[in-house]
Amino acid sequence: MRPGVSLLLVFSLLLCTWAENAEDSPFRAVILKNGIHALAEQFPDFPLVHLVVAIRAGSKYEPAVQRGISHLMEHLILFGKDNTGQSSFSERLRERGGFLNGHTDRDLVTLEITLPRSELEFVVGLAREMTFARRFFQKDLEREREIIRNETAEVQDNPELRGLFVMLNHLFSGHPYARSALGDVTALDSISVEEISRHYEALFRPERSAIVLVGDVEPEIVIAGIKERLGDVRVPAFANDRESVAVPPLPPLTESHVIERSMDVEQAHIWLGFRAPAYNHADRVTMRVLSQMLGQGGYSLLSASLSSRFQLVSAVSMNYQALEESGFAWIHMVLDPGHVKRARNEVMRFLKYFRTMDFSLRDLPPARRRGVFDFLATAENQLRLRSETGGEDGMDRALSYARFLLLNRLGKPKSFLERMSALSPSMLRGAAGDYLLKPPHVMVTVLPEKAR
Amino acid sequence: MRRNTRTHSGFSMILCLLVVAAPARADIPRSPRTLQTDPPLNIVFLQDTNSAVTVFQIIIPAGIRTVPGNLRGLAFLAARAAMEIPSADDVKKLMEMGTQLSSWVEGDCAVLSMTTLSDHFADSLAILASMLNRPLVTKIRLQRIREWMQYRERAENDSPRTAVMQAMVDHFLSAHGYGGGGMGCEATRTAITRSHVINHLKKSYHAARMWISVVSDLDAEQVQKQLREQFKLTLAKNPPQPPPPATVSCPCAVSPAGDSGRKLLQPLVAWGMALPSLTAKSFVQARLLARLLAGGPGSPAWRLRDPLGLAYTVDCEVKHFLGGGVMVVFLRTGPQQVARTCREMETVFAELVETGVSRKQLDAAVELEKVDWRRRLQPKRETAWRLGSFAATGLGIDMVNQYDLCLDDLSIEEMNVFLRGCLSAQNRHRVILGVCLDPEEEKQ
Repeated sequence: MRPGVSLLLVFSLLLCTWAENAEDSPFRAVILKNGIHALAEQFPDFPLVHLVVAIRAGSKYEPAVQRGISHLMEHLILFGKDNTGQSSFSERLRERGGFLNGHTDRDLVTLEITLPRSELEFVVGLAREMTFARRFFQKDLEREREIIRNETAEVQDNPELRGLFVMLNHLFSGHPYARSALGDVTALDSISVEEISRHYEALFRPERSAIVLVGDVEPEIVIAGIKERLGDVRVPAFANDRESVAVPPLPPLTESHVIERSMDVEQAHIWLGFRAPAYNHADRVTMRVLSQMLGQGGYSLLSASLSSRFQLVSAVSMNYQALEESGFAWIHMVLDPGHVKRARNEVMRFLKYFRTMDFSLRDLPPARRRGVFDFLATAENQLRLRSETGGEDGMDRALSYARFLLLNRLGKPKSFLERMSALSPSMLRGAAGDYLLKPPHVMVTVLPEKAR
Repeated sequence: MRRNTRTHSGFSMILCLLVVAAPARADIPRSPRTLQTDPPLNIVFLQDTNSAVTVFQIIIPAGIRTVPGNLRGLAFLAARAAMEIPSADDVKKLMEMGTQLSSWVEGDCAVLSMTTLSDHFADSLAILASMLNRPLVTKIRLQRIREWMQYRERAENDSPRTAVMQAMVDHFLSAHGYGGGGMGCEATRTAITRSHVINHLKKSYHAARMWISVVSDLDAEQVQKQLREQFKLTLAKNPPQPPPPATVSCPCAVSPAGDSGRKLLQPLVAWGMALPSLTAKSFVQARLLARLLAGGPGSPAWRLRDPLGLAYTVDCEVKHFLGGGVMVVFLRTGPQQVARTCREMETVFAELVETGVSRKQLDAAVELEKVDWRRRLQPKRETAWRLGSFAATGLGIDMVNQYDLCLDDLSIEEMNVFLRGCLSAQNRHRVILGVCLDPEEEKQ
């Protein structure tokens, strides 16, 4: 339902470190003959099943004149009438005690269902119906357009998201990643049911899909069920016109941007954005550790730097999200409007200074280690903790697996924890220089319109 | 086609066997238990092996209501001060272990929470105990916490939903001592002195009155041993009497009518309803009513989204305390649709009060609520909070596993009586954030 950024935020904060570690967990995974990636994992203790269907149908595949068609299609799949025209999937699920949600981001569309374990057969059947045999109706289209109009305005009212949207728009200028997955309200008005159907047929294909089920059931049973219910879905032979819409290469960011906006809020927000390693880039783990060390938790370097002598900011964090074509990292500060100028200067000064800092005991000879804070060890343990807590929720596990199945191009990589333990302070300094210091950046400030 | 039919039947048969043969743990998945320590502490423990993490929470009956209204913010300030790490060495140790500390306050309770890798549980616990035995309450630290509270207060005001929720709590529950919010306001924060904080900690943060909730992959014996060895709280011989609910009124309450001057692209319209005091039964009834009323597709309020297309957000939130509660329905709609949204939602309320809910609606809501309860209890932090708060408020730790049974026990007659009491026009209060509503337009 809520696309793009919410997915980015949730995943980046909670799931991605766990996803990188997902290959360590016991599960059954197969690729069906028609190309569907299927994975099942037993997750005991709760009599539930969590199903995720993920499709390579994110907003980057949309033609420029149909911005938002993927998001609109996701809404119609979830909340439109089913193929009988009588009730919607969401209503059918409610009758069985089920929860339904969906997300559209720049790479993927995900459909997410939680049901009692006893509904396993129903949910596997539903996956087929939603993913490969959906019909769309004009009345639903008109209603969901209005809903998305409301959703878009709602996001614009959120000071936490508004600046992030502007930042991404400039960071990926000239590439589909610049566009919000929510879509463009004007473009949505011109999209017809036929165009939705064509988009669906082009992208919702077995070889572009992953089906993941995590729950209190035997993985072998689930895989057998998926094979029986989805193994005969045919790969369309025709080359649809959408398939020829290849995602263009990412143009370089040639200059830094400084943007200001205003909103009716009490506190100012600053976002400082950088391009960062893509999902399959060798530096992904390095960047994850770097962003943790600089800007996560109560003991981060940025927090210490910006609040040591004077409480310059009320809150500061750094996050990183790896997408398929590129990643992005961003520092977010919330502060008194009177401190904006100083905070902007101070954060840039800190990034320059960081490369000369001793932030790990590994930087120091043993004689000088006593009493020194080891920010690297802190980040590693915090990431271990996040990796563990991120795996406590069955739906989060399923989403992470699905993302890994569709985006991973590295075969069976080493586990996240293994890769993390191989990092050295100099590699982190190098990454800071390569991604945060040398290249252009985008700085967005949202200022309060006036004191309310 | 024939093959498909046969295989589908085979899959169904396997599934049936799987479900029937599943062990009984499916219905009562995990059993919390109390642990004995010397000196005696109130400890509830649940083993959960889904992650190598231990969540340790202390629930203290020292929430918003236990401080006078003119010192609103004291409960939070004291909770944060109790979690101030006294020595740089301890900061370093906790930080390098990756252990997370946090604190927050609810209406009735203050919560101190520690989440740690289970490997580091013992070491983290020892530091936490030393902090609680010698809380660091200096003027400088208190001033830093005050500044942080000011930031939180502004952040809550900047979030339309949080601001409206606070307006509802102030409207319905100020008289019960819950108004004004956890962060207080500038006037009350300034009025809080160091001695207020110290006295509050002395009176309320006594081990005999605390509940400790632990959810861990470690087994009970390991946890018990580590609590015995590492968590040595200094206990006063005679615990002080718990403070009575505060009676001094709070100057921080926000406008109960909302903020019509706030510039929002998408105004927020909300209806609040007063709830009875928290008991096991009213807890279940309130959550079920929220599910029935605005719990997604098929619920009566959902018709404002489908078919009417008036709002993207249609949902309901409950805050429930020992002295009362509030349930709030939230709708975000376009500025031109506010009047219509109000009319349509009033119709939903009127119809529900008139006809009550049907057996089918109730059954669907009960099934949804059961699934939602289970999925929300997956993260250890949530489970620890539920166990601890149920223990501290007298609902009992068995409530975590008996929630399903409580739902099944509710009759449709009882539920409709509860519904009519809550949703009646006299019990409702509307707040609109972001638009001035023309009374004439509303009538049309």
